[in-house]
Amino acid sequence: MTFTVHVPALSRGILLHLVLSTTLLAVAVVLGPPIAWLTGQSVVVIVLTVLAVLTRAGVARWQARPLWQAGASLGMIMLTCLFSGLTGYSLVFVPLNLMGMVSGGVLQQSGVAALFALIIDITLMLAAITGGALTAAVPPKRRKTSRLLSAENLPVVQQIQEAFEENRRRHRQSI
Amino acid sequence: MKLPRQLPSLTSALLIIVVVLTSLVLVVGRDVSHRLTLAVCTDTGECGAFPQSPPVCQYHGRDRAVARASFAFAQQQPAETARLVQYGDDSASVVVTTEPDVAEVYTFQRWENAQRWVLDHSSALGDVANAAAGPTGQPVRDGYLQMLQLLQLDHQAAITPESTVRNITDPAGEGSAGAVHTDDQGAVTKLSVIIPDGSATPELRGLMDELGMWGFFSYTVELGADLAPRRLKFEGPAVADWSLDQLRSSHEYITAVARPEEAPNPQTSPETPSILRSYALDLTRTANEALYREIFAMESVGGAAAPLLTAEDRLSHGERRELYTGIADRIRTDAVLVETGHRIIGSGDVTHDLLSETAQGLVLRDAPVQGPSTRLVDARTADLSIASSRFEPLLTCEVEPDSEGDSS
Repeated sequence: MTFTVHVPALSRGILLHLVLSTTLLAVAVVLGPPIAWLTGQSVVVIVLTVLAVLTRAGVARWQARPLWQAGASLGMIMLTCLFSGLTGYSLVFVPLNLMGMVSGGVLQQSGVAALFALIIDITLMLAAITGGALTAAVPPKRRKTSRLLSAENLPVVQQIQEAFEENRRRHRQSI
Repeated sequence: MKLPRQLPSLTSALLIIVVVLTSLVLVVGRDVSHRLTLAVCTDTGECGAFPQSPPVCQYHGRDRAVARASFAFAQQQPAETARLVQYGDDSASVVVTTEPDVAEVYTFQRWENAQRWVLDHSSALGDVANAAAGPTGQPVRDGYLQMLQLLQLDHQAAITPESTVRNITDPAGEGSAGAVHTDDQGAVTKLSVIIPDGSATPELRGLMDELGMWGFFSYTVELGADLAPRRLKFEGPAVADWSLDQLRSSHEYITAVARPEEAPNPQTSPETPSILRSYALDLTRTANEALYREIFAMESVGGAAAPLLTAEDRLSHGERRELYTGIADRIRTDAVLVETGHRIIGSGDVTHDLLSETAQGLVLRDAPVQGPSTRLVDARTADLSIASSRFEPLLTCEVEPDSEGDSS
């Protein structure tokens, strides 16, 4: 069993996550402190965390949708999305994290705890990407099928489903 | 699979441009962030916003240089563990209490840099920048500041403390207090000691009378490399009914003063309730250094060698009187006299205790002590090494019509 990634989608995903990470950082650095004085920093932290989860999931969904529609395997889609997210995140935050650990003395005080925090944040980021990619992998038309299953529409729907599955089989064979 | 083989050039170019732009925002937006934060939090008084620097009269002289570098234009305590002091020469220091009676002193050549540092390192804002990477609080903020410093975009984002300061108790007899500064090698760089008039000897009270002080007498010794003395400063709250002429005309032995039965009469006014009088001697001058060697002895203070005024408890009355007369002589001959008037922020009734506490806070301003926040409202200086020198205002540039007879 071999795992492959779709290189053009991967490049685009890395760039998108790079944009997302730098934008989140810029928002946190520039707008975070003044807002925190008004609302308290815990509110800003929660908002930023939710924003990061939603936007990462959105990017992953946007990235996975054309791959899925083109008939790419779920493994390839997930690998492409997760790898691009991990690379985009790491390019921005891992160097800053390491510099912060050294300059702030965190590395000497509790290196294990700092590493553990990094792993938790990366896990959350990967979970958001997985969620976003999986929602893209479920075709919206298929979810609406149950509403179309009235007695008079049933033969038409079955024909569409069969045609869709046939189409997918052909694409998979061509990959 | 019908997928694009390469990125659309326009999309990728746009994404790259956005990355570059957000990186630029990260660099230049920090200043915007500081301005926005100050605009939001200044009214609360909790973020340690510095006021603008005082207008100092452009008059060149030794007294001006000494005064500007030494008077606290503003000092405030935005948090229990942080004390901010803004000096007249635009420099500033931030005193961060790390454990009871111990603090680290960060010094900045420009108070704006101190302002930025305070906001960047505020515990109330620390997790905000870190949240960009996730909710667990990775040290992203420290890394961001370190990155700015590595890129030569900020020289004072991540500075190390200049000294560690410890409170000391009873360094000059019971009731006295003080603070000792040590560098990263453990060597003493500055020592301040406050002796309340209740604990002072009659001879020291006589010296206080001579110098126009009430409440307490304090001395501060600044040391250079290898404990070489650099400056000696005597400070205390200013008493009314005192004049420069009075100091100059007295050439006899100081008078021993028994404990006064009546409370002293402080020099004060509704606008400037706390007035501090200080005399600075340049210890790089031979005669001043000789006096310093005579009246101070190196003693162990908190495990380090520091100069203490041992005359208070080790000499006879006569010897002490002679030494203190020598101090008064050197002061009237070569000292820089600075009088600073301070407004007390957020205080109600001005009592003797509050005035004394305020003055102590001003003397021990870079020590882990709690004191009222103050703002300088008036200052005047005189170089006593110049025979005909008069008080010159430091802030207003207006010549005082009769400064000699005016002590209020």
